[in-house]
Amino acid sequence: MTSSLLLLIPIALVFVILIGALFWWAIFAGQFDNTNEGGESILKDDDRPQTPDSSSREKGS
Amino acid sequence: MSLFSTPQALSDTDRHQRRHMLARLGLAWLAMMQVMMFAFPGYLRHEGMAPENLQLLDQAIILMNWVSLLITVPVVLYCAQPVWSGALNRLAQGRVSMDVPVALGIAVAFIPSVHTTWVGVGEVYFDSVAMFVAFLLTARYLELCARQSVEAGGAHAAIEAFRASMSERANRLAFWFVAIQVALAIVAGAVWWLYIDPGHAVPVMVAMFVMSCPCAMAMAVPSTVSAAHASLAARGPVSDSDVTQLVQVATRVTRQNLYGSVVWHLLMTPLAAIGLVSPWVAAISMLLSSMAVAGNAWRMYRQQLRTASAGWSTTVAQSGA
Repeated sequence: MTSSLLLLIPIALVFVILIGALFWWAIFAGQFDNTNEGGESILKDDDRPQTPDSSSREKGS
Repeated sequence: MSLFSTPQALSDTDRHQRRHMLARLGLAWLAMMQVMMFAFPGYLRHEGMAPENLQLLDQAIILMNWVSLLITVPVVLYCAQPVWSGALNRLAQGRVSMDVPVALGIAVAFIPSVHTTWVGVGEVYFDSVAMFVAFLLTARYLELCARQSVEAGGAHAAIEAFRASMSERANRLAFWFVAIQVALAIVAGAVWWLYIDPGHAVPVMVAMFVMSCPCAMAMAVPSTVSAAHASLAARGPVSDSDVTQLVQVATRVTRQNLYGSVVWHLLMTPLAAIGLVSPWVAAISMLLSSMAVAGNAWRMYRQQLRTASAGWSTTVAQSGA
């Protein structure tokens, strides 16, 4: 049993360190600064009816 | 507007401080869950087991203790860093803040555990240390969020004044509480060592050390302050008499929390001194009292929201009539 623990526990430790490092990176990349932003973004869409002119421009771009 | 989204008009240092607090909080919770998992085999151990199982379990426990130590060191050095710097700053000024008893509490649970891990015999309390730091940081992070999301104003200033006066009282209470608890722990340990049963002296002493952690007391003021700020933010504009009433309610809830946790500890201390409370029961009792403090602050927040919405609907009814 001890030999399997000697393998599994270091793996667990590596995972913890990896998750901790990713979490750290996510915080300082600003991902948790505004957790509402993603949800609100769909409300901030440009909902004006599209004229044929603008839709053709979108297709073109 | 959520409490947890960073306000737009925040200076760069405040924003940075908030990110650091969040990193400390998240890493403390991550470490806490890992350490609790590694502490589990220690709770399974009892003398009635078959000798070969006991031997195998002891080997596993020693290994897990080392891993717990490895994970707890960053919690103590990085996550709890505001506690250490706060305690040192205040001590340098010759004053006492809540950080001093908290730092003492962390040290008296952590240092014997390191010794136990090194020697390889006895129980470790890394899970208690990680839990203590994680809960304390949660309360402080909520307080920081609430403080930053409320703009400066009359109501805000009233709550800050309330926080300052309550903190003063809570700090003094917690300092004397911890000083007396640590002294009692040492006396009880010595009495067990000399007169009763030397084998029980260390568990009794550690259980009393664990209970001397002023976790619930340290959370009493920040949790009520954040509840008060959050209910203000949810209510919108308020009158002066509403603020006075809110401060009165907050004072009452903080007092309940402070004195309630002191009474709880006072009830547990004699039981621990006569050896009825093992250290892990002490850790769970500490957890329960912190939960009760957080729950009480939450109750106050809900109650304030209800009062606010009731007041709002009567206003609407009156204006409609």
